[in-house]
Amino acid sequence: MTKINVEELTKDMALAAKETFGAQWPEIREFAKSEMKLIAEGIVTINKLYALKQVSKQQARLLLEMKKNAAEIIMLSVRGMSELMVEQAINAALNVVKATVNKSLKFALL
Amino acid sequence: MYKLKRKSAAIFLAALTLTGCANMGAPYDAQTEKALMSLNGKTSEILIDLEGSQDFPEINYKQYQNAYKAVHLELSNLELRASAIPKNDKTQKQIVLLTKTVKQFEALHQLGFGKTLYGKQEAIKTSRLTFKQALKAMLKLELAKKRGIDTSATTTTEGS
Repeated sequence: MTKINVEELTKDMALAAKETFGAQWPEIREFAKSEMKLIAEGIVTINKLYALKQVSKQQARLLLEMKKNAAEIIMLSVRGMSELMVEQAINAALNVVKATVNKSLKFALL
Repeated sequence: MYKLKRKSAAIFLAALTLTGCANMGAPYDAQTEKALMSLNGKTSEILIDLEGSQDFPEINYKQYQNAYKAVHLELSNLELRASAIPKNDKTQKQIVLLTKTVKQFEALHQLGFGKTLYGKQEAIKTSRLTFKQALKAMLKLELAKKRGIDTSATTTTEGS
């Protein structure tokens, strides 16, 4: 299994989110980065649990979906964030790390 | 260490500023705040109970069905109330997402959480953190509405 780490995932996800947020990015940068880190930490934890055969594919997917929902809920609480923008930012962030994460797990988590 | 603390404080302040200074559109609703606290209590009760459970591998889902029903009933009431408040789209969307999360957690429960005792404990621990973060954000949004209307009420919340 290829190792994935929180820092690299956060960096890639934040870059993808930056493009979605456009002009609003300077205002929300720190907040968005810390949210991306939360998702990245979740992905790494789920990855570790699956790799150690502690959870099944189905359980791993459910844990990730829950994390994704929580990230959306958190970002919606920020001023100026629309539903569409939040959804797009999270999808863009996950999309950019999809190949790395799925390759590491050897199954399509994302 | 000092640098790290300073960065955390900056993120915390940014989050407070972003959520706190805004007039979010919808008015503050005390019932929503109360319902969120109640939901926090009910979900925490399930999670704490499960964390302490040593019933693995047979964690009896049936034992918790009434507790889940109570959570769904509160979510349904909250959704109805939120939909009756003008310009309350964000809170409504958050409730939809929280309902989805509860259903996913329930599905995870039916699957036994994990394949081993360690897996089960870690899955429950991760889920507990997920609920805590989600409910805290929902409460922050509601409290920010309060501050937007009455600036003399200086309620602050803990950062994520």
